[in-house]
Amino acid sequence: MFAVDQTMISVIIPFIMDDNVIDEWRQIRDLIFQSLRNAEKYLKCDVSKVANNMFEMRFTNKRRNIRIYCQEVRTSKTRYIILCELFDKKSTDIPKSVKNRIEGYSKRNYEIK
Amino acid sequence: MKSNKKNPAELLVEKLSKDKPISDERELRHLAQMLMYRFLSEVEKVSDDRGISRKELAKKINVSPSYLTQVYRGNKPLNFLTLAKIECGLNMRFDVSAIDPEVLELDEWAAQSWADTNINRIVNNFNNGRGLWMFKSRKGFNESCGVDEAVNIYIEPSIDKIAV
Repeated sequence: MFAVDQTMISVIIPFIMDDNVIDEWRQIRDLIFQSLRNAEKYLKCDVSKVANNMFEMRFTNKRRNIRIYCQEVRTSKTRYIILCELFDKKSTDIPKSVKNRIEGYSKRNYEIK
Repeated sequence: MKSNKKNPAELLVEKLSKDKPISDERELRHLAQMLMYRFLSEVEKVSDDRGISRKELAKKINVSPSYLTQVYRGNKPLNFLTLAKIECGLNMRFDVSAIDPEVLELDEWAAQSWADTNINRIVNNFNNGRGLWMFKSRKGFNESCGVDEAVNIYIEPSIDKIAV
């Protein structure tokens, strides 16, 4: 099940619903639903060792390199993927501010509404 | 307590999706892409199991690593010639079968339950690599493996009893 961090709703939802992105979003969503492996689209985030419960979705169509960082929470019945941070990657290195935010998201305990 | 009121995310999705129905052609393209990803997922699993990197695979099948990356990203279509090269390069074979959508729903549901429990480890002991799995319900299995509730698991048709 997908959820969005409350503070990022107004950024993440319009992005994934954008006409130029929605096809790629549906692909990533279905890859996850169908438990298919694709390390170019959805993979464990290697930004920080602290954020070991964080994953990233990669939107690379149309020469983009946009990532959505997600926290994955598994309960006995459901796998929740919480979309937390959207980042337009323009260079090889991830800025420290973004890294800190990702580490912050990894420590959050979410209440699913 | 869960209320019937929609949350802000749901409201935003509703608002944004109102004017943008997905066309049939787009839906078909999506299905084609997902079909490709199903093959690629298997290739990735086999490569990972054997410790073969993307670069090594590209070399084995005589294509450029960037071409494979483009395929995995969905920017280039995967054709049957490349699939045949992968079969030869990895010395593997794709098993193709058609499935009833109703069974497919069970399949996804079971895959999720499977991932959520430790049954995966137990069932793997019985996987002889043929990859033919059937859906069967096994009552009472929970007691033996300490899972909270009765679950449906995949077992191979040739195995009548699972000893745990």
